[in-house]
Amino acid sequence: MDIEKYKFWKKRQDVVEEVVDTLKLNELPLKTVPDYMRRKRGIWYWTGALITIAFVYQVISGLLLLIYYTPSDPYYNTVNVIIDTVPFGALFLASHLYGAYAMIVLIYIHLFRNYFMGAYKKPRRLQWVTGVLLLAITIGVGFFGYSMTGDVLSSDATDVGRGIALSTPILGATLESLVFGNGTSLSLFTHMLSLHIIFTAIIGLLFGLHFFLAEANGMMPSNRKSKYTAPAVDKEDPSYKPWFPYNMAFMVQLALYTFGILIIIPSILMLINGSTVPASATNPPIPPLFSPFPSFAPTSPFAGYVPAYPPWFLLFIYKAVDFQIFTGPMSPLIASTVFGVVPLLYFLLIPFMDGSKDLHPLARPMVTAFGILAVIYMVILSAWGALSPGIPIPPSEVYAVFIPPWVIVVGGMYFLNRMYKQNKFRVTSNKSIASFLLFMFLLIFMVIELAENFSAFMNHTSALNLVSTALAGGATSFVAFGTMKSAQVAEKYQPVKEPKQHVISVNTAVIISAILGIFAVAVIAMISTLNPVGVISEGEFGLGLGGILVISGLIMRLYRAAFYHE
Amino acid sequence: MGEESIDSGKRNFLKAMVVISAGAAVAGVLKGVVQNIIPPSSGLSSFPELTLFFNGNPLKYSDIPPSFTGGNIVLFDYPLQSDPNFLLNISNDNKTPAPVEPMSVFIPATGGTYESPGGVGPDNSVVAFSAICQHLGCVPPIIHYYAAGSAAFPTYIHCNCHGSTYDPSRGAKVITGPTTHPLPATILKYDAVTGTFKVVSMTGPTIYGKISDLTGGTPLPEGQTYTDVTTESIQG
Ligand code: FES
Repeated sequence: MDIEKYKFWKKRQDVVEEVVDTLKLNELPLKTVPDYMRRKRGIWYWTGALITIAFVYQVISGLLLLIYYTPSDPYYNTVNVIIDTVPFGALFLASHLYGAYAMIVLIYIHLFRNYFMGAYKKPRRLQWVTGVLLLAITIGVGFFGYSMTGDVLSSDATDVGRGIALSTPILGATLESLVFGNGTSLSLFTHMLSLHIIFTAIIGLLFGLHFFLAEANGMMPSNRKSKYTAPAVDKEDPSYKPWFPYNMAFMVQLALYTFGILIIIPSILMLINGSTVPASATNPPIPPLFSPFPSFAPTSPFAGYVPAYPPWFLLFIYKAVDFQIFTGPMSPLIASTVFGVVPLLYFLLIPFMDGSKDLHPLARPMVTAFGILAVIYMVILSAWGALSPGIPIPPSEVYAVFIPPWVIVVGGMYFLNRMYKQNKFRVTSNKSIASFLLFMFLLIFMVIELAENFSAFMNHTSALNLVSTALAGGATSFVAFGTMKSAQVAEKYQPVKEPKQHVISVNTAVIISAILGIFAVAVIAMISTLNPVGVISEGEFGLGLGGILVISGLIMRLYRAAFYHE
Repeated sequence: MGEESIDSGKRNFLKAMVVISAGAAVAGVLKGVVQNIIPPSSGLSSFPELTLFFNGNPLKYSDIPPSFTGGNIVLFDYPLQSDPNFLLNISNDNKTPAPVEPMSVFIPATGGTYESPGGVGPDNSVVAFSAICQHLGCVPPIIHYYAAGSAAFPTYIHCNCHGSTYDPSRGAKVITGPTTHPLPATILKYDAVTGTFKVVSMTGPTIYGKISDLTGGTPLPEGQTYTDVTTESIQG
């Protein structure tokens, strides 16, 4: 090796060390984790990190949009200024919307994973409570953000919100003006904007606490270590690799992937949408619930074609308001309390209600059953709301939909629990995969069935009604098999010996990374000439940019595989 | 040893690839962000030709005798909304209109000159200038026209913010500082047949606070072919 080159690398090495030293990267007080969490399927353990990354994206894109938001005429300004004339405005707007959706979906996944794992138990009770609060606040922020565009959907959403607020006894009027302003449009949108930002700031603060607690309590140890008993505390092991550079490289990779995907999805939707407003009012290319852009103005002649949807993540409450089991002037409030506040309180209080030390899902039959029911009901209610928006539902239909899953899941869990206690319940790996496939099949079948026969469903065809709900219920018991199985797998889990050889040969990594690197440079050269204004060219730019981010993540992955053997 | 240095070379190559592609991504993001935060300019691409309207009808010469434009602050927006201009019927006694000749106007700041259009109308006495002070941008009524016979600054436009004075009968040239620019001249056209006034463009310095006369504001509603003349009374 010639000496010049050596000196250059040496110098560079010094610079890197200097940076690492200055930033104290190798002294960060962050918890280290076992290798398996960074492996394939390790993503499952990082849902919290994914939410954080999405949150960072939301803050950045949101602050950029804030520069242009105009509460005095939000619809015109959003559609005709931000989307149509601001450079990359359409891309930032659409990706901000989809970043919010991603955050909400990821939070649900994060929540239910920890719920079924029993992670809410001591010593993580406060951590769990802050997490549930974060979910509620995030949904609130989503609602306020959704209401900021001033399109027909946002005005429907704020109207429903006003109705619910006003039906609160005594405090109704105060509450309504507190949230929605004094009734003028300017006051409404100024409130939506400020609440959107204020609650985002609260998310940031509460997240700080949540993250601190997560670091302090450490990760949930594998079930083998914890023996399914709380308190499940992981002791750091000398075999855990240091946070720097191993975990940092992994985090960078995750962030690159996440940012990439957060930009790619809305870009594709923008390309499908093709223009700012959908080409057709009656048959839009993208259903209004998932449109990347605001819908029509409330005053537009097309507004009547758009069903009065709330954002999809509130569809379940919105449908509940249609149930005729709730009557009287306070019915919207009661419906949203029963389907929104009560479940929220349940999740908030579960660490205090379930004081047992059991972590196994089958050892806590009712907790597991309620979790499964929560998922099922939320899915059914949301699909119902999407398919029959605003149509009143007589009580008999409501009971027909709600009772069968309840009976099947609660009953099923009861028996599974007894079998578990007697140690009779043993599943093989094949059986559990089969049960999972069957569950997915039934779930998909149910959704299609529901969609296909919806008119019949609405016409009191209770036979069909029962079939579909029974399917839902039947499917749930398979979830139980699934969790049981995963628990058993975990029980038998042996840490795999550190593979001595490279996971991928260094030469292969070099070649693939070279190809990817050249590709990335070519793409950036290509997209940098695109017009920064225009739905199509911005969509193409987003596609390219997201692609480069994912490619960077891939090269990072190759690096980790080749040199960290991960 | 040899093995190792080859390995470290490959290691560095891979690192370089990460840096290059992540760098490309960062460049893309930066391009997006930087272009995004520069607001698109808002305005027009050329000067519109607008008829002056007064109380809902085209403005007549008889609507603006010297006593009226001297006794009130008479304004219209041009070329964009929130670009006020003085409309004046110049007179030395507040009664008889005095013609205003076209002339070249000196710009103290640059040492250059430009041609001011002179008065229009039956008496060649009607002129218009930007009503935003060229010093630091004060607007009417702090800057306004003092009619003949006023105790202070008679026949001048004077700004009370810091005391700049302009002479509207000589192309609004600078009489006293601190301003170093005359008021931009708004070019009017009089149609003798219909007896109406049109405003067609601007000349001289750029309107205060703007990069160009045509941008930096909201255009009048699309398709509108007139601009309204409004008045406020002079106080003090
Ligand atoms: S702004 Fe008019 S004199 Fe200073």
